[in-house]
Amino acid sequence: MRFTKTMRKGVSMILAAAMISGLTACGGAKKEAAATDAAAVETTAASTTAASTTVAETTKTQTEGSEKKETAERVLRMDAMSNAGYPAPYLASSKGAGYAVLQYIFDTLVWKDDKGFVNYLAESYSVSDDNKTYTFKLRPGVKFNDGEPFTAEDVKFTFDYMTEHPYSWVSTSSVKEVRVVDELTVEIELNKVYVAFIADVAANLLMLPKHIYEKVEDPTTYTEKDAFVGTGPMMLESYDAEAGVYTYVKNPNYFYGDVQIDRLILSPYEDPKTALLNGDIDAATTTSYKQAVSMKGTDNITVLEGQSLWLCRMYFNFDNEALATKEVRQAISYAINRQEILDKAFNGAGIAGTAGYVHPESPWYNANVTVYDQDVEKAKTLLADAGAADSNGDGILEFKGEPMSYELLISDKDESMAEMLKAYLAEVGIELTVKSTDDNTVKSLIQEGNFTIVANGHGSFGGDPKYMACLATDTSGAAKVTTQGGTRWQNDEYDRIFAESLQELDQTKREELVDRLQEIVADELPTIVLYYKSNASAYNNTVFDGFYYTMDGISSGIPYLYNKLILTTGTWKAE
Amino acid sequence: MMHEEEKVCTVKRIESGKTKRMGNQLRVRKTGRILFKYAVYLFLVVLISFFLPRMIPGSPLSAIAGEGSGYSGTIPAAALKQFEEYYAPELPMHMQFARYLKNLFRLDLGYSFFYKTPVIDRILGAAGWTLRLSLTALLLASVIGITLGAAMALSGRGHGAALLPPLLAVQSVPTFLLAAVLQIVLAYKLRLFPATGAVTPGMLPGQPGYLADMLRHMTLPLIILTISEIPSIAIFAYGSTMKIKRMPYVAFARYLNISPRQIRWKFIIKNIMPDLMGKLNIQAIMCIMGSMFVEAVFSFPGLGQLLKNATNYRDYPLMQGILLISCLYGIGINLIFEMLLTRQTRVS
Repeated sequence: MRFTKTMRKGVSMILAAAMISGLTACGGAKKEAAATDAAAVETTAASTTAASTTVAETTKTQTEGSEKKETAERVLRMDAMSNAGYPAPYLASSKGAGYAVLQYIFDTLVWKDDKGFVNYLAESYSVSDDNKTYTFKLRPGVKFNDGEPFTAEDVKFTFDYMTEHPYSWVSTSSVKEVRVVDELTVEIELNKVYVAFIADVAANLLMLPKHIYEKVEDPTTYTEKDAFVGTGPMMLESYDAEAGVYTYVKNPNYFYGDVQIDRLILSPYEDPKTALLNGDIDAATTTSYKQAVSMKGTDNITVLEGQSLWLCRMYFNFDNEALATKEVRQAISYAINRQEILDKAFNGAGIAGTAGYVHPESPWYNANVTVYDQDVEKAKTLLADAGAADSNGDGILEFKGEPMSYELLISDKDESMAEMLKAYLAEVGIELTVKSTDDNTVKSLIQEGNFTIVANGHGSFGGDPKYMACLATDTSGAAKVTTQGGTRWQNDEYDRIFAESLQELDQTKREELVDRLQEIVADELPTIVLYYKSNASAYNNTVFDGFYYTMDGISSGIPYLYNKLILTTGTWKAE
Repeated sequence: MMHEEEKVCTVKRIESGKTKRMGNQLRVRKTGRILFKYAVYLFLVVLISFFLPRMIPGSPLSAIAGEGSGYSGTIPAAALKQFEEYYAPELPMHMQFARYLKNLFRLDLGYSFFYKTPVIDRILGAAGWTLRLSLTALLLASVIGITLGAAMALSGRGHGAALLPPLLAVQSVPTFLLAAVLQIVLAYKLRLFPATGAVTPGMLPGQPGYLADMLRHMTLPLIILTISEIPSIAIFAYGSTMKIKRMPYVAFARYLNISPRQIRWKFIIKNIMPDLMGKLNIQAIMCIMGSMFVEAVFSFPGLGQLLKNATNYRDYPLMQGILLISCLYGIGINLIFEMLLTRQTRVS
C-alpha cells in the first residue's frame, strides 16, 4: 500500500511539473525573458574575457559607435532637474524643474539671456505715460510648430485663459485687460503701476495656441499630443513618465535663429558628475557646487560658475508667542554662527547669510543693515530682557510660563545643519527637537504653516527685488515656493514701502525704498537667512559649446544652465 | 524493470477508479473553500486601502474632511477637485465605499496628482518593468537553484554539502550592497554595462536597436537579482532533497532493485516539488521587493521608482494604487500556487 501511494504521488508530481512548464510556456513575456537570459550570458562571457585584456579597446569602440550616430544626427544629452511631469504649462511640476522643461517648447513675449532681457516673441514694446499700459509689437511670421500662425489673438487668449485657469508659476492678477489692436499688436492694461511687470509677467507667461487651448476645458488633465504645441526651438517627441526622460526634436521653423542640434534628450541622473565624465551626458547642471568645481582642469570639461539664486533660511510660526517676539528672534540670530554652518554642513559652497534677506552680491543689497555676528552673551541678555528666565533650573528658559522647547523641522539631507542649530540654541537656553522628513514634505508643511521652526531653502530668489513680496502681508506677487503659510509676520511699514517700491519708476528712489525694506527685515528678522548657495555647472566642450548662465536665472530665478537660446547661439563641436 | 512499472500502473489504475468520484467532490469543495478564503482576503485588502487614506493625518482627504486647511496651496485646485470627485468625502461612509468599489471594478484608481494621468496607467507602465525584471530573475534563480540544490544533495558521499558555506555567504550579502558594488565595478569602472535606467535615455520602443538596448540595460540588474535569489532556493532544494532521500520508501526502492537513475528522478526529484512550490510561492512575492532595491540603485523605472516619486510628491492616489495593486499581486500569486498544490496533493 505504501509503495503504491508513493508511486501515485510520483505520478501526480509529473502532472504538477507539466503544469508548471505549461504555465511558464504560456507567458510570452517569459519567453522573451529567457531570450534575455541567453543574451545576457553571452554578453557577460564575451565581456569578461575581453575585460582582462582589452577593456579600453571595447569601451573605445562603444563610444565611437555612439558618437558616430550622434554626428549623423546631432543629439545633445543633458541632465534634467527631476522628473517634472508632462512638459505643458498646466501639466508640468509647478517648481522651477517644470518650467525648465517647458521653456524649449513654449515662448514668452520677453526672454532673458546672459546680459538681461531680450525682446522675444515681441519685436518691441512701449509703455504708456501713466505706466499702466504696455503695447507689444509682435514679431511677424512666427508660427506654432503645428503650422498655425502666432498672432495678437493668441496673446490675448493666453492672458484670459490663464486668468480663468490660474497658472501657478505666473500670476496675471496685475492685468486689468488685454486688447488686440491689430494682428501683430496687443495692448495690456494693468490695474495699477507695476514696475516688475516685464520681469514678473511678460518674461514668464508662456504663450498658448488659441486654436488648441480654446477647446480645452480642463488643461490640468489634457495630455493629448497637441497640448505640447508651442513656438519654441524644440518640439516634444516623447516623454517617458516612468523614467522622466524628455526627448525633443528641432523645430525647423523656429523664429529666433537656426537650432544647432537635431535632438535634445533630458534625463534625471542621480550622479550627474559621473554621467558627464563617462560621456552619458554632454552637460551637467544638477551637480552640487563642489562636484562641478572639482571637475575644473579635466580635459574637455568647462566649468561655469553662476549667480547664487538659492538661499537657506529659518521660518518661524508666529502663532507661537515667544517666536513672535522680536527680541527672541534677534537672540536666536545672535546665537547662530552662520559661517560655521556653511563651512561644516555645506562644505563652504556659498556665502553666509546676512540679515536683510537680499543677496550680498546683488546690486540691491544694503550693506548698512544690522549685522548679527555670533554673540552668546548678547543673545542671553536679549532673551532676559524679553522676559525669558529659567525658573525651574532645568537649563531651558521659560517664556511666560512656557518652556522654550521647539520642534525644528528639517529636510533629511540637512541633518548636520540641524544638529548645529540645536547646539547653538542650547547654549542660550532654547531647546530644539529635530524632526526630519523628505524635502517636498517640508516645503508643503511650510506652505501650510504646519510647523514651529523650519530651516529650509528655495530658489526664485534674485534679480528684481519683487521677490521680497514673500515677506509682505499680500504675497500674491511672490513665488509660491518662497511663501510661508499659517500665521505670518506682519509689519505695516514694510507692506507700505514694499507696495510703494513696486510702483516707483525712479531707479534711485526705488533703491532707497528697497534699502529701507532690508533695514526693517534686519531689525525684525521675520526670517533668518542661514546661507546663500553657490551655483556651478560643467559641460563637455567637445560636444556643444556656448553655454552661459542666464541673468538672474531662467524665468524667476531658476538656477539652471540650460537657456533655450543657447541651442541657437551655441556651437555644435562633435564633428 | 518492466515488471515493476506494470505493477505500479495496475495498482494505480484500480486505486484511481475507486476514489475518483469521491476525490472530485472533495476537490471541488476544497477549491471552493480556497476561493472563499481569497475572496475574504481581497475584501480585507480593499477595505484597508479604502480606510488608509482617510486615516493618515495630513492627507489631503483628511484636510477636505476637516477644515480644508489651505491644502489647495500644494495641490492645484483642479487636482483637488478630481480628488474630491473620486473620493466624494461629503457622502456618508458606506456610500463612499460603494463608490470606491464601483471605481475599482472599472479599474479606475483615481488620478495621479503628479503625473496628471490615471493612476492605473502609471502603475501598469512601471509594473511591466518590475515584473519583467523580477520574474525573469526568479525563473533563472529557480532553475539554477533547484538544479544546484538537488545536485548537492544527491552528490556522492555528501560532497555537495561543501557548497553550503559559500551559498550562505552569498545569501548574507544584502541585495542593495551587491547591486551598488557591482554597479561601481562593472558599470562605472569597467563600463561593461550601462549604469542606470532601463534603456538609453531617448530610445523609443520600435526604434532599431531598442530591444538590444533594453537587454543591455537589464543584464546587470538581472544578474544581481538572480545571484541574490539563488542561495535561498538552492539551500531549500538541498534541504528538501536530503529529507526525501532519507525517506523509507526511497530505501525500499533501493532494495527492490530499482535503478538509481529512476530513484533519483521518480522517487526523489518529483517529491521535492510540493515543498519547492511553497518556497517559490514566497519567493515570487519577495522578488518584487528585492527588485525594488535593485531598481533604486539602477534608477530602473519600475514600481520602486514610482513609489519613491509618489511619496516624494505626496501623490496619495498613486500611493494608494501601488499599495492595492501590490497586495492584489501577492494574493494572486498565493492563489495560483495554492490551487496548484491542491490539484497535485490528491485526497486519499
